[in-house]
Amino acid sequence: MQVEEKLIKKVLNRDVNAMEALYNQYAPALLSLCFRYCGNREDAEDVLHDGFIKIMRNVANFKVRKGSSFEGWMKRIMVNTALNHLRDRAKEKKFLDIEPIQDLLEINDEGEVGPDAVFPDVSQEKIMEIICDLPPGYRTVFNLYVFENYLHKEIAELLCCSENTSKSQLSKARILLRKKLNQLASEKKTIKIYEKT
Amino acid sequence: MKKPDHPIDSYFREALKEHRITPSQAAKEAFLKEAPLPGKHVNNRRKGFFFLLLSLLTVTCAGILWVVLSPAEHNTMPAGNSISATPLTASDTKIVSANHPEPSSSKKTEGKTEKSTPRESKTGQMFSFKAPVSEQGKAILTMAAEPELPSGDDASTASEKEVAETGSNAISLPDQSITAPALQSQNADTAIFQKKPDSILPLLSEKKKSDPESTIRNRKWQLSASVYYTPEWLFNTLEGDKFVNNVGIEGRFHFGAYSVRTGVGLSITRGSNEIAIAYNDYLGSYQGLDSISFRWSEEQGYLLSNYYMSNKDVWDSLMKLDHLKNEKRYTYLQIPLILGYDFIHKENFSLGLRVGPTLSVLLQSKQMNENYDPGKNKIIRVNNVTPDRIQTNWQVSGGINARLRLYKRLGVEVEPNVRYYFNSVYEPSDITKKPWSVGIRAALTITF
Repeated sequence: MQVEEKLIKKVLNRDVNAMEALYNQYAPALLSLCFRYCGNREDAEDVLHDGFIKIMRNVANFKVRKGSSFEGWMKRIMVNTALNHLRDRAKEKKFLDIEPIQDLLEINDEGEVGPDAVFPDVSQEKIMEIICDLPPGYRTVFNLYVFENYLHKEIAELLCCSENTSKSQLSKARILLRKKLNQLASEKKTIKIYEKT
Repeated sequence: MKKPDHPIDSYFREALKEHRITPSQAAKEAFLKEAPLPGKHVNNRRKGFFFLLLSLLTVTCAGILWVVLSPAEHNTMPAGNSISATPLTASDTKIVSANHPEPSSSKKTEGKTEKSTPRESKTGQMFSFKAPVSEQGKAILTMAAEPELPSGDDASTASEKEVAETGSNAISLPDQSITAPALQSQNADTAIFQKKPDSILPLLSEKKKSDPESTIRNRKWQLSASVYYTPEWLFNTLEGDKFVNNVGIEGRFHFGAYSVRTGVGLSITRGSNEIAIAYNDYLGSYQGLDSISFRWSEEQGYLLSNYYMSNKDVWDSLMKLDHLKNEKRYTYLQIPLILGYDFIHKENFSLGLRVGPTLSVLLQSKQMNENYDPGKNKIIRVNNVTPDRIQTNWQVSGGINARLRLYKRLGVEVEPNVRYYFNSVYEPSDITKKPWSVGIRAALTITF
């Protein structure tokens, strides 16, 4: 925290080196966050850029207190920037991204899995890919709920939809993710059997 | 509030806990190039609020200063006001005493009339007026510098003597008007009154009366028109606090301290109503068999079948509910009838109470978001979860109005007010409440 404080003070003093240090320290994690929301690297880098500019402009507003996390504050700015970006992109599309999912017919368990469920061991890149493959509406709700720990009420306010819509989007996102994980698991099994034979 | 932890959520959360992506060098360079100088950022809304507050403070201070520091009524005639050249008859012309405090003469040079103020001689005397009659029989009032004149009452006595010689105050002149060429030929200090008042005083007061500004100001009743804008903050609505923009034109009849104001205006606000959509999920489609035809195959020795299929959609029998928030922009026509009483009623400033009802009629409700797209789901029913806006609404408002005259007929008004809605802004429903609001009316007024 003390290192952060020093960095913030330097940034306030318009120290370009401090800005660069801040960027180097936090940009990778924040780019990962942006990537989860945007679904592609180009947009994610745009959002990261805009978000970092906002952070630099508003860094004076960050109150260094006990328990206040600078990273958490930056993440909130980045999430808001990503949501604004998605809104801009979705302006020509429907208000609520409720898409009929026809390929879910095989799953009737609404994405529910037992506590003993086994998930395949896949790389972070693959998992990121699975999340990015989700439709934007599902992806946004899933990200907000799972990674940012928002409640459905807060998500509904952020996305201008009802709580029930948020719940249904999350449920549908889970179904899709479960299906993708199952596919990955079966592919892995097939590869193992093939390797054995 | 602790959320239930779903295994899928935990799996993804854990898997991406330490996930990092290194930004490209180009992105980093772009950031370092554009990295702005850090400073306290004030968003536009806050800036606007501070600007509004500052403007109000400035207007209020200016008003108070104006009222406190402005001198009493000026008696001077506005610049450019001149005595008009109208034919003059001798019987109407009178000589003014040189000691008269009123502006004593007007000088005409090259066709232009110039106002002159009384001048004092070295001995403290005012210039006296003579009214010699020219050879052409034209009435000329001469203002000549006479430093050798006796001081004090002697001056007036001297001029009175002259007057007395004529037999009365009125100079007997032939019925002939003075013409411009004739005026030009006169001495530079010669003042020619070409009007036909009984004296200069009535002439000046007549001039003053004919000034439209002072006429309006001196009138007991006044008519004025105004253009107003009122930002309004509405409370006690289902959607939380709402911001409403009101704009319009109004006419006001003012009689003494009392006034009546009415007009038309538009009230524009955004709102939403939530709807519940009951639907059956689309499950997919299958190739349904419509008919089969059989044909005997001579070559193969058995029946050949032809299947005629068509695509059949299948929906779930379970009814599901989806919720949609319809964002709308509501435009109301407002007709106010505001009665007023001014506690302070001065020429340049007034402060008073304004109370009255306002009728609002819904003109337009425009949906801002796209229509709900059910995809292939089958819509069973659509219900309003929250009620839509009401068509007609009555409000009563009360406020303190401060008016400040800026320039001649132009003025500004500021009126902080509170408004109570007699009926809810929503259609009748069990959950509706009666809202109230606060607002600041800012208006630009022109007095007729």
